Amino acid sequence: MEYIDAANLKSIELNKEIINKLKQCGEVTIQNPHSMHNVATGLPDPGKVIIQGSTGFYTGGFMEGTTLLVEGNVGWYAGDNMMDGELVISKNTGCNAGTYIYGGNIVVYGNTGSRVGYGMKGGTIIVCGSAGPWAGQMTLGGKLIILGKVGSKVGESMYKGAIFVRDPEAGDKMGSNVFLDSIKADEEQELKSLFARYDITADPAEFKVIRPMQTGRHTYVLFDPDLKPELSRKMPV
Amino acid sequence: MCGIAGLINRQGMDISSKLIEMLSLIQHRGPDASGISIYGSATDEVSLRVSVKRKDMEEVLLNIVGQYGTVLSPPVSQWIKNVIFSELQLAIDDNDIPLLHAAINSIEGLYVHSLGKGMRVYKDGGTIIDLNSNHKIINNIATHGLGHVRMATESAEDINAAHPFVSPFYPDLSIVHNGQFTNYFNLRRYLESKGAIFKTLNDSEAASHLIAYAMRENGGDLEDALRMAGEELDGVFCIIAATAQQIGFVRDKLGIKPLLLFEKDGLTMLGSEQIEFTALFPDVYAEEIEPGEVRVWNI
Repeated sequence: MEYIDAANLKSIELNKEIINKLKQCGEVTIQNPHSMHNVATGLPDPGKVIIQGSTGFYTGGFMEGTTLLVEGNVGWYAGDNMMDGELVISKNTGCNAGTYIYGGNIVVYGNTGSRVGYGMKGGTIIVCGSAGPWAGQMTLGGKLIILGKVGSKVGESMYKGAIFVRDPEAGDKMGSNVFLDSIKADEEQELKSLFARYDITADPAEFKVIRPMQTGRHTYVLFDPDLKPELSRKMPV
Repeated sequence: MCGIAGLINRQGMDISSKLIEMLSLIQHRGPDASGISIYGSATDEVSLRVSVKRKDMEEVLLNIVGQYGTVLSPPVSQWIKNVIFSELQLAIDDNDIPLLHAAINSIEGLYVHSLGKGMRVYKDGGTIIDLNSNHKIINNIATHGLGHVRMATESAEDINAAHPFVSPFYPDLSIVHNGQFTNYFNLRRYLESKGAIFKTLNDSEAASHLIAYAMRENGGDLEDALRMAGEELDGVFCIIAATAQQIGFVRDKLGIKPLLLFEKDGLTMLGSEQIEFTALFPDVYAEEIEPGEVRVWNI
């Protein structure tokens, strides 16, 4: 395990240092992040990064397979455009957590702000606390799981994917073009294994699922890329 | 971008210092200008804070003030970069305050930053550090206030284009704004037809005139004025507005600009980012305001 003191580093210097240290030993702990923006953004390699403290905007953006643990709060756009890997946040995040992610898992043990999972195309986001308005807006795929209260317009204009909610009032807070469905057996199994993996106490049977309606749509063919995020990782030389 | 702050403590506290702490934590949202407005200081005097373009215009200012009221103490003036800043304590009839406010603003080179009883606006170009070093901020016990750090997206970067903005239509009102209005020129034409004198090209000044005009017409109903502003203003915005008796906000219907709320121990805090709230509480989660929401607190 290597340590980096971020107190006197700029984010660009810190991120270079993280990449170097990950190559050397595969596990690095960052101290004194002081809510710095862009921490651990664009990490190309697998490995484990632990941040002891809170971070600012765009934490863990564009990750390609790294496991990132933040022991604190994170600002907005946590895990922005993540391709693969894991982002685990012990406290709260600002708005737009998990925007446009393609793959990997994001777990927020606290609350999150508005537009969590905006336009996500794959992967999984779990929010243990509450979520702000427009959760899962324009989602194109993947799973968004919210254990606490949801805000207004959840699932607004989503195309594909599923939003798992436990808030009993979620049905009254949905956006347009979605409906509230019951959970399927295979989905229950998936949730069960995810909850076990991240040590979350919740019964998958209590969840309902918000899904996109297929009626009233234009006749265009939805852009449906065959995503293989693991291919984006650099092959060992 | 811009960052905004609002703070209420009905029991009274050093609001100015706490607002400055909150703004220091979101300085990254805007380095171009900073400002605070403070209400509820125990003083009964009316204070007038004016920026003066040239030294010789101070005479003009004193002449105008003399037509509406009495200056209680000699003006405390200071040079700030290339403007002079004057603060005067006045004895003036309440009905004359809007008239004096408009009369001063009608002179090129004079601009009222605040005029009211127990109310002061401190604002300047640059960072919070500039604000603190250029102005002698009185850290009295007060009940509520607003704060702003500006990232200029239009108009000049100077002391007068800083927030909070006030308007002669309702001098007691100050607003801070994060966002942009796309119907500025239509608003400006409308407000100028009602007698508004625009002192800057800042779109937030139009919002201050609009809300103040609405309050003058509706008898001082802040909530009604903010609802009207939510309908009439076009663009993306969060506005926090304050008078001596009330604080309220309006957020645009798309919810593009951030606004958070946290209430605890009789304190009400409004801000742009979670980190702002750590100025008073070490680790809290502030709720996000619903898009299109209007809410008002009585002090």
